[in-house]
Amino acid sequence: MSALAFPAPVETYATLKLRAEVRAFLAEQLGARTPMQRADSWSGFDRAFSRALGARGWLGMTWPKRYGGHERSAFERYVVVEETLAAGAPVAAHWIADRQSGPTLLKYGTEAQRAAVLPGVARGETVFCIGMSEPGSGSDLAATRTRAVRDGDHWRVTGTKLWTTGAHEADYMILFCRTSGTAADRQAGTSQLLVDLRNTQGVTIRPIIDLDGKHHFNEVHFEDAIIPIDALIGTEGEGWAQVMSELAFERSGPERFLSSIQLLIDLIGALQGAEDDASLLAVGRLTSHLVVLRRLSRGVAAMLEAGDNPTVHAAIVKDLGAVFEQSIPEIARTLVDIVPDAASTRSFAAVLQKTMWNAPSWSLRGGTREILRGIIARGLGLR
Amino acid sequence: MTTGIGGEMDEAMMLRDAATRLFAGDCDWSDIEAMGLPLALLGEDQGGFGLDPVDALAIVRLAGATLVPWPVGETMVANAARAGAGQALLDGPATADDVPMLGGAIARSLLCAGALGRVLDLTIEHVNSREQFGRPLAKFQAVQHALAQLASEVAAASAAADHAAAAFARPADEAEIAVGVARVRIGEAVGIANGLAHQMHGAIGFTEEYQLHRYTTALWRWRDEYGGHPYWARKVGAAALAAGSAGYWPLVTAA
Ligand SMILES: Cc1cc2nc3c(=O)[nH]c(=O)nc-3n(C[C@H](O)[C@H](O)[C@H](O)COP(=O)(O)OP(=O)(O)OC[C@H]3O[C@@H](n4cnc5c(N)ncnc54)[C@H](O)[C@@H]3O)c2cc1C
Repeated sequence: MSALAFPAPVETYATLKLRAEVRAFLAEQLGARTPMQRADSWSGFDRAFSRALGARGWLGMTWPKRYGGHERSAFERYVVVEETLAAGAPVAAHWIADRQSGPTLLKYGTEAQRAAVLPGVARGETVFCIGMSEPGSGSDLAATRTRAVRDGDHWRVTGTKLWTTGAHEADYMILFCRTSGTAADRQAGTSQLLVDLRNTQGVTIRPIIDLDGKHHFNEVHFEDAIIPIDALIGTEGEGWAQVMSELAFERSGPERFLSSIQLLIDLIGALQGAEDDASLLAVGRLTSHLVVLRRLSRGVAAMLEAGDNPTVHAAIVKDLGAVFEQSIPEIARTLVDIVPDAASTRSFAAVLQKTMWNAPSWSLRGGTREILRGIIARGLGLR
Repeated sequence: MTTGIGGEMDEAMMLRDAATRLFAGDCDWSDIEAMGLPLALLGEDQGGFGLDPVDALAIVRLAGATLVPWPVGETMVANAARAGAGQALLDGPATADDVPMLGGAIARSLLCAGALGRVLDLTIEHVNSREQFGRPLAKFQAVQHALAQLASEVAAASAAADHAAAAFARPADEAEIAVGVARVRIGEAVGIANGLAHQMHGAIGFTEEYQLHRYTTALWRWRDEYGGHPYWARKVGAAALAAGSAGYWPLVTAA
């Protein structure tokens, strides 16, 4: 049968115990956090929180101990990731590094890169950003024009990265760029470089304000920036295969269906006492979707733990997940008669606006809906 | 797949293989009985196989994929209920009155997952072989995206059916919510998947002769037997609202 099977999720004594510990920790850390702050989801940035999480041993959880990791299972990591998201914890300072940059270095980085960078990530101190998109290269990532030219014992990098989330806070960027050939060569001739943003001349970071008035993403301009030759990650010319593997990490987690969980939690609060049939049916339906998405997503964790490639499975969870999380504000407005308003003193109205306004990004970032559906179709043998 | 300890896993696989062969032909109830399927959910001491219920219920998924014209799953759950209550086992295929609501809903979930898998397979075959404008339909991006959506719904329904099967061994109050979740999600998946599959098949899928409708029409019925959408969605919704804001996420992780 061609139906894609998702392995059954694994619940053990270790995951049950860990979940209780994480909940207790979050209750203590986040007591004063308002619904509006919690609704920031994975955009909330707080170095102190990330360090506290690192101190508990909850970052770099699956990595070898020699790199500051904790050699725990993908299921245990999953517990920490989903509990922090569901609680609306400010995870942005460690998010990218723990989820994808660290695993990329673990897989392809040199021994020196791993030893220098990973322990700081596991302590929650080192912040990463993703240098993939460019003005002329969004979905068509292979069209990258940023170019690194070998010049003696360093690379000279020129080009512009766009929509770089958190670049203004980051210590490092994993830069996807061209190291040989021309744009016409497409995937061939691309590489990944580890850029130390704090110690590199010729890098300019300019804010881009999003439609909600927030500064999360940036334009990062490289003008003859000098980067040491040993900043190459993995193999020169193999950047495409490496970046695809990085995207599989980027797409595989519960953040892909929990972006609007705070609104759903507040909706349940707003419906207390007025439990009409429409509310019961709608909340029952949303909850059913959520539980099944969790099951699918934990199946992806099982694949990661087994060393299987979850590219297609992760694309399915991300695509279904984005449809689900984007539907929550639309359904909430049919159940509660209220104008979405971030300035409202009623937190439901405020969270509704924030969620509604941020929702369009969820089927763009990390690969658009259309790109994901292409990946799924290819996984089924079409194209 | 559940991980039984060694031998149990082999037994589950053997049973699945044997049932696949049986269901591939015209099978009689006597063949199903001869294989012991009506007692598949019973312990060895009760004359069953002593399998993990998830492995036993996997047989029902196969029955859905082949549209077996006998109530295999219903009889399995009815006999399990009878054995649990110390009553005499059924002497033949179960009728509607014999089947407990929850067990019937679990069996229907697995039937739906099996049939949806076939709907996906038939659609993939069709878009790869049918040509228009000088190329297979599968080459058109709109068709590829529709197929991706179909596959995603089938994957979700399949995971939901696994969830329902795993609920068989849980305490009744927990199982109600887990099965409700599965029924609601599968019901929605059937609506979307059937619509997309028929769209991609064109007129041939709308004929009596071509086999697609045998699956889609069965699905339109199965998804609403043993409690339809309102019945199960209300149960899940009531539990969620009773949990309140603070209890909602713990409810989700326990469901
Ligand atoms: C909030 C946010 C944060 C982000 N953070 C980062 C970051 O940290 N680092 C980073 O590198 N990037 C980041 N991105 C960029 C993101 O990866 C891109 O937006 C995404 O890859 C799409 O590229 P684009 O915006 O250029 O749109 P385009 O590629 O121009 O696409 C526009 C539309 O056309 C569709 N389309 C494009 N090609 C095809 C095709 N072949 N077939 C069918 N439809 C097609 C797309 O699906 C989309 O609907 C972020 C984006 C957002 C919104």
